[in-house]
Order: sequence, then C-alpha cells, then structure tokens
Amino acid sequence: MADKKVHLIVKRQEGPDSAPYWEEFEVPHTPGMNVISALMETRLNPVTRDGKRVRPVTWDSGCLEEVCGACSMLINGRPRQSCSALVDNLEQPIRLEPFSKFPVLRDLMVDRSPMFEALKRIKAWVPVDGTYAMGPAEKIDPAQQQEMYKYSECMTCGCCLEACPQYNDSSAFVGASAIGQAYLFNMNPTGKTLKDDRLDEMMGPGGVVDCGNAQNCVRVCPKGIPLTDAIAAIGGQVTLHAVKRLLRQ
Amino acid sequence: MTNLNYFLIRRVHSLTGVIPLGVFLIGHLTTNSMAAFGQEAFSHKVELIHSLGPLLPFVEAAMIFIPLAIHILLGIFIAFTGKSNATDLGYGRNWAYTLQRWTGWAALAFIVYHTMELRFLDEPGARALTGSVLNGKVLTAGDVFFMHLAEEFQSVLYVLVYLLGGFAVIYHFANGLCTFCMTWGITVGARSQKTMSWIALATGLLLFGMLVAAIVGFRSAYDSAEYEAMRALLGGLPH
Repeated sequence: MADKKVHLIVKRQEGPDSAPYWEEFEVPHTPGMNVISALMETRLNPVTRDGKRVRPVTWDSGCLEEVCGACSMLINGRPRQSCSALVDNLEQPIRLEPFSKFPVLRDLMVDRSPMFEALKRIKAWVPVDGTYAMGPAEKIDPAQQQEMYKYSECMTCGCCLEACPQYNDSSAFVGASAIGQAYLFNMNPTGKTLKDDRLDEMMGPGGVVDCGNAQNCVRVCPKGIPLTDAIAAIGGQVTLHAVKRLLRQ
Repeated sequence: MTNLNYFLIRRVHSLTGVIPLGVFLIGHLTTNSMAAFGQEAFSHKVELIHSLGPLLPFVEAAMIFIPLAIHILLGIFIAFTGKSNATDLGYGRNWAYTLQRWTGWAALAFIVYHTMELRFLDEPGARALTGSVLNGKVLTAGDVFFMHLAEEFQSVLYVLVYLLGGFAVIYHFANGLCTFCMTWGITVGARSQKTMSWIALATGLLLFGMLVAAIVGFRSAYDSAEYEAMRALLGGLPH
C-alpha cells in the first residue's frame, strides 16, 4: 500500500501567450485522495517522473465541495471539477488539461470571466436595488420553487461550455449556463420584469438560436441541471417574443 | 443586423427544412416509390405533377429551389460556427449533431448532382420525346423517365450513389425533425424529445424504405430490348 503511486500527466503553460507542453508526475497515493490532493503532492515535491525539478503546477480551486466551480478542468478528457474527481475512480495515468474554450492564465488555471460577461449580457439578476424599501416580494408557488431550484444550482463552472460544439472562437454563442439562468430569472416574479431584455438578447447572435442541440451540456453538467429543458423552453419563449416584437414594431 | 432579424434568419433555416423541403421530400419519395408498382403507376404520378402545366416552374421555384437555396446558404454559415467534438464526447445526440453536419454536406453534393442530371439535363430531353410512339404506345414524359431510370439503375455505382445520397438527405431530414421540435420549444422535456426521436426514426426508416422500393422497382423493370428500341427510335436522352 505504502508505495502505491498515482501517475499524472499535466498540460502546462507558463502564461497566456506561451506554448503548452506536457509533464508527467508520480505522486504517493493516499486513501480517498482527489485530483486536487494529487496536485498538492506535486507542489510538495515538484519533480517530474524523470527526475527533473520543475516549477510547481498552478491550478484554481475554492470550496473543495463542488459548489464553486473554480477547480474545473479536463480530467481524462472530460470536463469536471477536480475536487470531486476521486483518484481511485479514475483510470491512470490521469490526464489533466485546462479548459480549451477559455483563455489559459497558467497551467490548469483559466479565465472564466466570459461566463460572467454572458450573465451580465442576459441580465441574470432580480432588479431590487433602489433608494427606498420595495416591500416583500411576491410569493412563489412551491412547484415553481422546485423548478427554479434546479437552475439556481448553477455554479458557472463552465463544463457545459467546454463540452459544447457551438461554443468556440468562431461563434458568439453564450452557451447553456447563461440560457439556464435566463430561464431561471424569467420565472422569478420580480426577475421577469427584465424578461423582454433577456429574450431580446436570446434572439440575437450568440443567443439561444445558436444552439445546435448536441445536448452535451446536460450530459456533463456536474449539478445535473436540465439545461436542455431550459434551452427548449427559452426557444419557445423567444418565438412568442419575436411575434410580439414583429407585431408591435 | 438587429437581434430580431438574426432570429428570423435562424428560424427561416429551421422552418424551410420541414416546410416546404421536408414535405417535398415525402412527396418526392412517394411518387418515386410508385416505380415499385411498375411503369404505369409511376407515369401516372408524373403526369399528375406535369398537369400543373405552365405553373410547374413557379411551384418548383417556390416549393423547392428558393427554400432549398436559402436552407443551403444558411446551413453552410451554421456549419462553420460549430466545432464538432463527438470523438471526445461520444454521446448519442452529440453524434447526431455531428452527423447532421456531415449529412448536410453530403446531401448538398448529392442534390446538386441529382438535380443537375435529372431535372436540368434529362428533363428537357424527356419532354422532347413526349408524344413519340414506341411499339404502338404514345409515350408520356413519365414513360421516358421510367425507362431511362430503369437503365441508369442497372449500374451498381448509380445505385450506391442514390442509397448514400438518399440516406444523407433522409437522415438530415429525420434528425432535423427532432431538432426542429427542440428549437421551436415544442418538445421541451427529455422524455418528449426521446419520443420524438423514435417518431423521427420511424419516419426516416419509412422514407428510406420508399427509396429502396423505388430503386428496386426501376432496376427490375429494365427491358433492354425496349430501351434499345427507344434509343434507336429517338436517339435516347441527351447526356
């Protein structure tokens, strides 16, 4: 047991503009370890498999309980969180790569701010800020609360975008997470006051109309959010919205 | 471009695939599958279409060529906005997405070939021969076409081109039915989408069956003596 090893193959990159390269590490195995604890071993002893001392690996992480999305990366080619990826459940060697759809900052750390920009674009919020108290919000039916709860679990991790064939350099597509949030906030009694603005964005380049229905988003979503339901529902909302726009312009 | 215009363009692409192109595909294969019931049945259907007379070119343009051109142009634009990754993430629908693009290209090549050959090269010839008498029978355009296709389908390569090209078109239509229902928000839940995919599969198989029936019908009806007589009498078709 004591000399059981974990074999890691890590895609590395000095900075945003440098070329990527691969390095292999062999770290001691501990029971119940996850990909992050395996990576921490390479920090303790940043020596590659062939004995070369290298710069410690950089990665991003936060909550370590699969609710923040920061530690998302490609693990054996699959987009997921490295905190909830248990080494014992993975095939070795474990291949770690940064997300390919976001700018790499260093090694496994990427800049996920395009997702935040997408949320701003579709106004993924409830407009309650003001200079006076607005009173209690409208009550929400429990059945609708259940429906909304699923979409509120989105942690903007980016797995759905990494897996999406329509989310890439040659497309403006905002991707499934933003569409799911548009659906969520359109359901909110106060949030729906911005519904027209959201659907205007969803009609345009990069909106729901750019979805190719490959449905990888819903397959890879670590929270099991029914993203394709939201996409089809927003598709329906946008159809009615366009008719309204056409007839009232 | 305004967001509304972009939306309309994307939806026009989605809609033209079903109406009128999908409807035409069903009608086209229905007509051609009549070949399985012999020359009479096939010619009868062709005559029905030709009975539109001078209106036919306009109906063709409105129902086929204009929507087809729009669907193709927008489809090419859409194809270039995607980067398929089905080999990395081999989920069923991801392969369906990838195949939709591949069959789009294949269908484009096939339709250009098929239309150029039969509609623009052979049709004028067939029409020119209409009314000629062969073995005491007055030929209709449908008769000439039937004999011509019976001869063409003797070639295994020709059969293969039609099976593969037909598969591409039929797959593209059947999968397009599924994505159409998702895009327009008709099938929202995973279960209704699954049901729709079974309906689309059944539709696709039925259409492919019609294609096979047409090919078998043409192939088995070939009468070399009759065709040679037609060729000798009328000089055959132009190409």
